[in-house]
Amino acid sequence: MPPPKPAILSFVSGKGGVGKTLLSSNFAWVCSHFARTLIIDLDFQNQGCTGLFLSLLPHETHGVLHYLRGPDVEVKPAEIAKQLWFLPASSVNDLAPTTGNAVDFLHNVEILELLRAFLARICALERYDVIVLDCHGGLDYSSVAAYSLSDHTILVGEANTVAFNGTLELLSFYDLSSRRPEPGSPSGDSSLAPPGPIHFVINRLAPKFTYDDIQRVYDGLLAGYQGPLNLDRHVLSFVPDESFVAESFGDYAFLIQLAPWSVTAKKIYVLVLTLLPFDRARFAVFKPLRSLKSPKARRKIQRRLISSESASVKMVMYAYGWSTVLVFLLVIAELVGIAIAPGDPSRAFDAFLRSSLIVTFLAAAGILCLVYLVRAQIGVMRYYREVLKFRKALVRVKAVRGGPWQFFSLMRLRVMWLCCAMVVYGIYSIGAIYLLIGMYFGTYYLFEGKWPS
Amino acid sequence: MSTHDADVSSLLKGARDEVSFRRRIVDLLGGMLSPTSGVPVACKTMIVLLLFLCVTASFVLGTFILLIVASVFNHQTVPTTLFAAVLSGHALLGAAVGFPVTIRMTKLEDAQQLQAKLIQVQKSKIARGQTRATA
Repeated sequence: MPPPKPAILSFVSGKGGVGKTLLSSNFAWVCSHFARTLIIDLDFQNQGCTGLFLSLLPHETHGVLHYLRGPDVEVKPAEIAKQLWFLPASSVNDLAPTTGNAVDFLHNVEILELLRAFLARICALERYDVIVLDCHGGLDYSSVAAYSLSDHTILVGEANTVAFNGTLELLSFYDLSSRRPEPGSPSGDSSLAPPGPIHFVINRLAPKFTYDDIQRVYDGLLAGYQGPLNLDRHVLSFVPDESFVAESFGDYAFLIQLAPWSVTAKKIYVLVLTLLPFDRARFAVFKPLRSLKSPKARRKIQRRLISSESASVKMVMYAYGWSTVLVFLLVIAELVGIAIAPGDPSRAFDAFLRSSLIVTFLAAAGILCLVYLVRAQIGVMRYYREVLKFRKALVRVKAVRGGPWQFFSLMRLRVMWLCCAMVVYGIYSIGAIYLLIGMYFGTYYLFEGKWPS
Repeated sequence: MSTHDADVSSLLKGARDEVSFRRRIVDLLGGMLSPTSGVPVACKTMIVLLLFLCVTASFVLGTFILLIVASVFNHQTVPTTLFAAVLSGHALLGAAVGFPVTIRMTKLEDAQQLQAKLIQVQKSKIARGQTRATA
């Protein structure tokens, strides 16, 4: 009995450097927790994925170019993690000499047939549940071939004119390629199944947009498309810009392993849940996916457009900004109130009115400042906790014995986090005591008509 | 209204199914006060003045109620003290409403600008495609 057909997903883009390799490698890493997964680097020119996994590949690993040229060679992908295999673009011991041939391949319309036969050979030899194709950023026939053979094509872009221009160019290239009756093109071969839908993922989104606005922008743009391509008219995911990604990419391939709490990681979990045709029980093997089984939780992540670090920084900035404004306004009001109120303090009602006004203003300012400052402190605590966890994970996965400065750096982060945590819980305790004392004084004054001595 | 303005105003008018009441009010005000809305500047000024008068009226009404309560106690000096309360109330309310509206409007404007730029790219591509087809 032949093995079941794997789900084939390709990551493409109209221009390079938009984050395809990061998304595809992490997508594959998540999939490997519940499915046998293979990543294939089809970026013959830049070979980004090959470079990323080079340290994990045995010297004798052959690349896709080697297999495409010699159909009879046995395909042996390298196992780079548990249940995760990788095929580089070119052979590990032959990276440089293939560059010329690689460029030829990019402009060869025959690549569709070659790739189709190659994928069929791989699937006949070994059972894979998911195959992820990491393509070249730009217009080339390997990208068209990947699109033609995929169940889902994820078109990665950025929210700017440069990336959008590239995206439109790529779509019109796909369009032209699918119309042209050349050998190797989708319409030239009736035995080919129609390609799966093209989904849009907008990567590295600046935190200045709200979800509704940005979704509306792209909905408006995609609604006008009248070509023959099967486009998903709704952007599948907006991934915010995140410093953990920039810090770890290149050092270690799987960001999700280092920062599973990061927004990028959560967005990838949602992508996996949305695109793969497996039942929920299978996803449940991987704990982070289990916690996203409710549509509400997935929608919440879908709508989030700010990284956890940016959210913490924003919390701190807001807290200090608002506290300053409140204190300023309340002090002015207090001064004006005292200056212009010509009441007679000897009269009981005047004294009561004045003191109650002062107490109310001070209490309101105190409580509001406390609330904002506690929020800021929580932001700082979260920030240091996440940076500490991330750095520790990075040191652990690199498996390199850290020097004394690395040790002190981790110690510094731990001290910062502990101090912030103690201050937060200290403020909570002091706040509770302050509230109790305030309640006691207020009640005493109301019933006795004087402050307690 | 130009096509570009129509595209931009569609951003404001678009899907509002999941949007809260507060956001709708902010969007409505933003839509009217936005530079691309087509509402005359005099009308925009009137809207802002009207809003300010509404807030003042609510504070004055509150002051009068308090004044009536104070007159029950035969007290004469309450208004001056309450004047300070009204002033600070205005300032606080202005900050509490004005700041979020400013942030929201900035974000909306960013999205509008992005949309305008992307539409421009899309239109130039379509025009180029048509030229190619004609050639």
